[in-house]
Amino acid sequence: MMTETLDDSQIIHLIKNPKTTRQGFERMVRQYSEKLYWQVRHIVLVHEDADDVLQNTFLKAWNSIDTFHGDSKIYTWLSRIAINEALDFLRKQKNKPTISADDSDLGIANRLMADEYFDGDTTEAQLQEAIAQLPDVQKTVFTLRYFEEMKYSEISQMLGTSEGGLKASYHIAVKKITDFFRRHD
Amino acid sequence: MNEEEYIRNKMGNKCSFRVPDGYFEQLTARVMSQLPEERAQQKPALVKRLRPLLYAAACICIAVFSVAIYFNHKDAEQQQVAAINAPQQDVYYTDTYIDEAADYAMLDNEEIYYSLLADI
Repeated sequence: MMTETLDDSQIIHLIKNPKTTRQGFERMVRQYSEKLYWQVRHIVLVHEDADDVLQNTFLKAWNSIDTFHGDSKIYTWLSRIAINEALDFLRKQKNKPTISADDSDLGIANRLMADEYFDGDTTEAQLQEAIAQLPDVQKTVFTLRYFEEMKYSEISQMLGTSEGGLKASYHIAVKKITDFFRRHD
Repeated sequence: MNEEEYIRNKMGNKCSFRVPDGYFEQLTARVMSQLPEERAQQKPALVKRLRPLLYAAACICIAVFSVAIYFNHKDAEQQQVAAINAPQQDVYYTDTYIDEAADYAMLDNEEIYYSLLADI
């Protein structure tokens, strides 16, 4: 049955066999795509952008599946690709000229409030704006810890950063967001 | 209240983002349909591709350098040997032409000996 969850070794076994590579990859996509989507969405904020980034993530994973040797969990490997793709997307977006003068004046909070796939109130939109202003590492650590409730050990494996460094980044991020709210209260 | 609690109290745990209806049900099929049949060959990074050439270039440089040092050292040795032998050759040439010089100067052997002793 396709709905049955496979463990990493079973998925890798399917993928490494040339006759079942696609089938194994499809199982991997089915098992991890939703979790990856939310990771990406918290970074890029807009549904259509998250969808694009997710597609690119799986395309990159497909093309580099031979480089995955099972040293880490499949989800950790996929997350690393997804987060890099999401941050690259934001960097490219920052360098793009704005389409209209109006867009450049709208803050992220205002754009989210106008987004049909955002149900939050003004405070929640402001939180997203505060997060968006953080440097990449702090943004990523905050997103994974606060929204995904990941352990520091898991984040450390994903980003290749020490747990001590991650804790420091998270606490700095929390302080900045708190200060942001206090300034806007 | 610490700062994280402050944020959680303000925000709660609700996820404010949503997706179009049926998005996740269709996602796998959409992802798989976008994948090429054959995986693109990953080009190794430029340095990796050039590595064999770099190793070969390094070996050639070391070999050329070693040969240059070897011949330079050999030349130095030959020059030392030449320097040691040089006075004998000078004596040979002096001996060869001394008779002609003596005839030209109209000096006899006794006068030549006395002039040589005067220099010591």
